[in-house]
Amino acid sequence: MMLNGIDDLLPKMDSETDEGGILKIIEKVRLIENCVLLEVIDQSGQAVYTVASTHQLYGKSLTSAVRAFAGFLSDKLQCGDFRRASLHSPSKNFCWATLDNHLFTLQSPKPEATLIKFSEIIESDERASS
Amino acid sequence: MKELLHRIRSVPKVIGVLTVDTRESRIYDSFPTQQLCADFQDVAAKLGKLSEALLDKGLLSFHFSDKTAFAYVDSHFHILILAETGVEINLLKTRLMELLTILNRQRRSPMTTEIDADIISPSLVDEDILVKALNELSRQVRQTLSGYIASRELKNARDKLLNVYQFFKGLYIDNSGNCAIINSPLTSDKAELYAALGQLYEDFRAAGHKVSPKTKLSSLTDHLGAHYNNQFYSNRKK
Repeated sequence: MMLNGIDDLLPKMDSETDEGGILKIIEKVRLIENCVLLEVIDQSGQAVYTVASTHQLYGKSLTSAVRAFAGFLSDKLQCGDFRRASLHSPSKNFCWATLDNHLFTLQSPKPEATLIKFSEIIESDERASS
Repeated sequence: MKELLHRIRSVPKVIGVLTVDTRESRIYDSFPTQQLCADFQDVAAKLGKLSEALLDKGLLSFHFSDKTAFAYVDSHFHILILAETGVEINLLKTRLMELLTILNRQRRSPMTTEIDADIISPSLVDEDILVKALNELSRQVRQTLSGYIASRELKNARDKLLNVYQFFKGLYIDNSGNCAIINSPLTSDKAELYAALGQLYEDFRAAGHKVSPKTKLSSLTDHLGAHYNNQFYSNRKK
């Protein structure tokens, strides 16, 4: 059972230092149905948000591998900037999305649907701020 | 093989495809040469790293500003497909399935388990191989019973051994019964490691049989061969 209380939220920044309003986005992403936001890391790999659960351990190593592979594709295969990724496997489905140099890791039974919801949140946020 | 790869490349917007047969350490590719800055060995090595992290088979889709990539990994084949953005994903997945079906059919000998005993040599019998064996057993339990039962029984078996082998705290088990070592190596004492993981395997298998007596679950001998099996029983604490 995934923990889902406020204790799970381990913010590394408070609302005053929340550049780009990433915490506001995190709060919205946490509300996407049928998925769990496991982690948000910044460009240096520092966690901005993390779920305090053992479930996160597997997601963490996987995220590290996905980041490394995405970096390889971006550099060596001239793929451009990494935007998002999804994983379908018999036991686990994950998706990853980037926003303002932050990488979101989500566990979801339907990663593509979750990524669409993620995009909708970003778009609606951009509309709200413009 | 070239024909198979060509079928994938014929999907509009696909740039190239690379397949690694991990059992034979062979790489097959169909890439326009100017498209790859990295050499094929490098790509194959990166796919191998990705496969290790997955613990299981899976299909990863990567979307970039300029391109899209698909990485399929399982215990026998790693495949990378590179495409332009906007590629017809469903058609590509159909062709990928065709490729996998044919590749599996072309295997020289049918596999009864995920781990092939003939590739195991003494130097390879380490904690990674043992964890793979545990994950294969867990997969069998998951297929015939459920992921919940696989996870529950494997966790129970591990927890019962914790007071004997405290390093099992470093063995993570997820809710589908997949396990991974968090702190590697679990112990520097190889003999103790073999005994502990061998015992965990046997206890987990016995628990699976108890839940469903008719379920056929591979023994450690099935995976590693009788010769190596002996190592797991000589240093037991329980």
